[in-house]
Amino acid sequence: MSITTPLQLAAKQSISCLKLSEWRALIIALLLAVTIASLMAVLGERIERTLMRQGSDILGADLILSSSRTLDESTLVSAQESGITASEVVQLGTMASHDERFLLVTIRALQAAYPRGKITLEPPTPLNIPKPNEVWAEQSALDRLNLTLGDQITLGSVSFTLTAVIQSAPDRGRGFISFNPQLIINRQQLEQTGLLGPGARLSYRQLFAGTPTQIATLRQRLEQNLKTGEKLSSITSEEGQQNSALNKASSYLRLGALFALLISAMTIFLSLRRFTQSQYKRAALLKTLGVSDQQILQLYIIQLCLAWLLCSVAGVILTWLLESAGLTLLQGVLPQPVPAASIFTYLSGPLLGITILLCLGLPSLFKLQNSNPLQLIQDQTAPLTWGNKLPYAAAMLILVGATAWYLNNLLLTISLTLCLLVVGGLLGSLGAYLSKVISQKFAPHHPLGNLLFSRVQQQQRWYKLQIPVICLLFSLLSINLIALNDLLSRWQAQLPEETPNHFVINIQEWEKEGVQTLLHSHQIDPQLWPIYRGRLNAINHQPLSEALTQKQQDHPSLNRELNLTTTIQLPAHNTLVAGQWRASKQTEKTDTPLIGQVSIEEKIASELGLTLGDIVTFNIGGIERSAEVNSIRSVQWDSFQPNFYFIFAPGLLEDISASYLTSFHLGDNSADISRQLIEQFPTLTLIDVRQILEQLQHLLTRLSMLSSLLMLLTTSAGLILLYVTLTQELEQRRYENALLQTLGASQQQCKQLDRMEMGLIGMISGFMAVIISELSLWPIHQQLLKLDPVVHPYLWISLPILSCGLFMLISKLSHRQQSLASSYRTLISR
Amino acid sequence: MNQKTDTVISAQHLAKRFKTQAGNLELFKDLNLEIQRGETVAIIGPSGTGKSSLLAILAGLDQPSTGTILLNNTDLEGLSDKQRAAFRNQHISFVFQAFHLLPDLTALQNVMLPLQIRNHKNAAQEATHWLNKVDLAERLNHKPAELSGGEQQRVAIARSFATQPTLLFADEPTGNLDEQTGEQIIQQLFTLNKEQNTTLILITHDPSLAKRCQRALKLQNGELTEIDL
Repeated sequence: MSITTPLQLAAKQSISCLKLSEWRALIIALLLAVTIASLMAVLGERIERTLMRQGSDILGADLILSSSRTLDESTLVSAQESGITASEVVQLGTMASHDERFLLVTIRALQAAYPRGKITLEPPTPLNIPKPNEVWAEQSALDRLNLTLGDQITLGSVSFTLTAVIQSAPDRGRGFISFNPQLIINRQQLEQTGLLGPGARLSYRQLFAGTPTQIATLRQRLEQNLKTGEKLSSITSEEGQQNSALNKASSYLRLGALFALLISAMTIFLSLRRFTQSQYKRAALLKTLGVSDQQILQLYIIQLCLAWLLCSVAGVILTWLLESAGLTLLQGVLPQPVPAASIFTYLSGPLLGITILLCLGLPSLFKLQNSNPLQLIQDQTAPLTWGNKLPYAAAMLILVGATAWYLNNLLLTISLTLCLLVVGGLLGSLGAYLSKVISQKFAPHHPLGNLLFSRVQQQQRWYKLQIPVICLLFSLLSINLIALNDLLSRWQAQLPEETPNHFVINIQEWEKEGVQTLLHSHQIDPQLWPIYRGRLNAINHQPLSEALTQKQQDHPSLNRELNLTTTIQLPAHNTLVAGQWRASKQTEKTDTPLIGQVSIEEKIASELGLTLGDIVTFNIGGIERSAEVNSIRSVQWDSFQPNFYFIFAPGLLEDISASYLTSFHLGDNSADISRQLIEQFPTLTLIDVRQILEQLQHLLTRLSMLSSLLMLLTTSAGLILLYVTLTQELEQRRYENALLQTLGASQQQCKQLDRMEMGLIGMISGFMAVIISELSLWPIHQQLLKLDPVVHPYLWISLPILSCGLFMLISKLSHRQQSLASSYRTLISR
Repeated sequence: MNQKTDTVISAQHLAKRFKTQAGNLELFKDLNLEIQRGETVAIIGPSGTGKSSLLAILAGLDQPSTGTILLNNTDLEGLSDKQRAAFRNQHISFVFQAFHLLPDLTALQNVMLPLQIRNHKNAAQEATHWLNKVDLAERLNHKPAELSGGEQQRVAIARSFATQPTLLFADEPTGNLDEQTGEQIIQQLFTLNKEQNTTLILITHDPSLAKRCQRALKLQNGELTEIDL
């Protein structure tokens, strides 16, 4: 054969093989594997690049000193004096309003240009920071507040003119707050907004850029003088990279690919095995025509490569289309613009595809190479045996290696693959066993019962593959959809009608009366909670370093100021679990000047080892106050009521200045009250919980849609596998039906038998999927979503029905009934 | 019992034609045949003459292109699929050259199959009885792969007699067996056939086997002729 002949022959063979269901299934499975692998990698990388942007340009500096309190200005000045570029940013979350619309935004107030990186604006402007009274906003803020350039945005008590749209900016921040639309204003104007009052959640950042030596020296100096609550970060600090929950987004996508890839690999393996068997005679025939063993191998390798090439091109195009769809879904969620993925990422699917194909294909092709022309004379079909298992074992190892490379984590790949295989194996065995037991019990109750039992006994090994695939697929689908849906809908449904949906924080002493009067005029009778910001610094008069273990000292509540309050009556939504709430005035004791009474939340009490009778000492704005723990409460944190770790009895804190907090429920006419509040009291912060929930819902809906898109691909892979496994045994099933018909079964009975079998397997897979879903949702609800776990009755109905329907449909598609005469011919031709 | 009821197969003017790309292919035409209860009849003929097609028609598995056929005085043409299936189950059995046992079922389960189709109450008991008859009492729970060729064919024979059929069609029943085993199988088949007074229609290439039947018919050039062996 010349060089071109095998290629031409392979091309012709590839086309003529399209009439073989196993070849078609192989191509579809390969296409899915390539698409899934590429898509997950591309989306993962793009999301990663967006959310985890690295480098100084993205951070805005080489070194950042941050704190929730004002930073020492001398640090900035001395750094500047030593030749380091430095500036300060203040960041805070607040409500922005325009007309009657309100939006929770993140404001960054800039003093000067970012030491590193550049803010890109539309329309472009030579300015580095906005002028006073001007604001730059991200497109999402414009969309949601219905703004156009030149419009006024109110922040606190000041109106700003929108002069530019932020296209990209450094220092955008990570984590959930980075999902808020961002606004940039001039630092000079910040005080005037009145947003800096007590209780405001602020983040102060000093940004530095310079030569590596300058930065190293500065870093050393800053580290030595780091005050409590201050933090240093840089592009090299691991914290920035690991701390973010979003770090997991791309891993999640790649892990999602693993299941789909396993299914596709299994489909490719089974179709290839079947395909090579069907080609056995053809290979033998080619040998009689003078084609050598090596040329046979070459021919089929070329054929596989052609299929791979076709699937790679189509897969990359599909990836590109689905990627656009995926990113459209995430448009409002991801900060724009989303950086492009590298070309290599698009090729990861094709690369993984050829690895799967060759690893799983070569052992079968070697067998094809050894086809015996004698078969043609004896008119035998090649036995469908597994042959030598060694090449398959080697292929599996290479495949796991390739997947590990793809997922970028060997241990995770191995443990997940093993976990999936073990769970799959267990589910398969259980499912097959159940099919046997159920059909046996059912046998006496239906005319075809015994035949069904016989059929089920024969098909056991296929059930061991089909049941776990469909079962796991359905479980994943339902867990994915239900967990996200439940999070919001049930959370909201769980809240009583009149649950507060507005919080007003930062009310100052002198505003108390005015706020109350305004709310009363709208028939709202709010409870105002005094808020004292204090840090726990001693337990039983011992400093924390002595009173607590190292682990307890790292408790997050000790590294920041806590909101403390006083009340006569404990909130109704708190339940006493120990002690007794005594709202008596403080008692004089001889050893300490002033001891009050305090009630503690149970979780923090157990974590810090606090018990009844312990004395806790707080530093509240420089004043120390101690109180005896008289009770321990359980708190429902998701109740949308003001909740506190420490509630003091009246009398201890009254002489310390406090800000106030209140919460109330507003109906649909909330815009008017909100506007009046912000107008009359510009310094207070109004938080509309509905808006936060809406924002969360928006985010979750988009994420859920994206994961549904990915699950759709996995489901397709699962359906193709189901189709392949059903066609694998199609010949056997046809033969069996032919035999049954000659033994006196009607065509109708054979069809009914098929339906009963598929119904049974579908039902078992469906119910097993329901049980797995409910069992998995239980801890997800309890631990992750903090919801009361419930049973989902619609799942118990829909999944088994869906699964039955699916099995019946695929069986119908892959399996045509034959006439009695052809049934007989089937028998005598074997 | 009168003459009419003793005729189990009555075929008149049977013809079978197939449409092929080259035009109509006529396998046979104007075939007439009467077979009495308990008779053993061999049908012989060269390959490709339509023996198996004739058997399929005689067994009610296929329809003739023209002509009528009465099986046990019943015209199958007027019956529904379900009734025809019930008729086959009641009256007809097959023994094939390739045995055709379901590989994942035991010998007992294979013999139980036709009984289960007719929803027989004591299928297992009945199947055990017939396996005993073919000397396979020790092999009840063996799967076909664990049985020799001869044993497999004996299971197939047990299965064919388990429903106590009126008509038994055997298509080259010894074709896959060595001479000695084939002889044992034929011996068993004829013995049981005699015991059960079953009508046996045997398709074979082997003249010596055909000779053991009461009648021999030769299908050649589309014609069926009675021959003397």
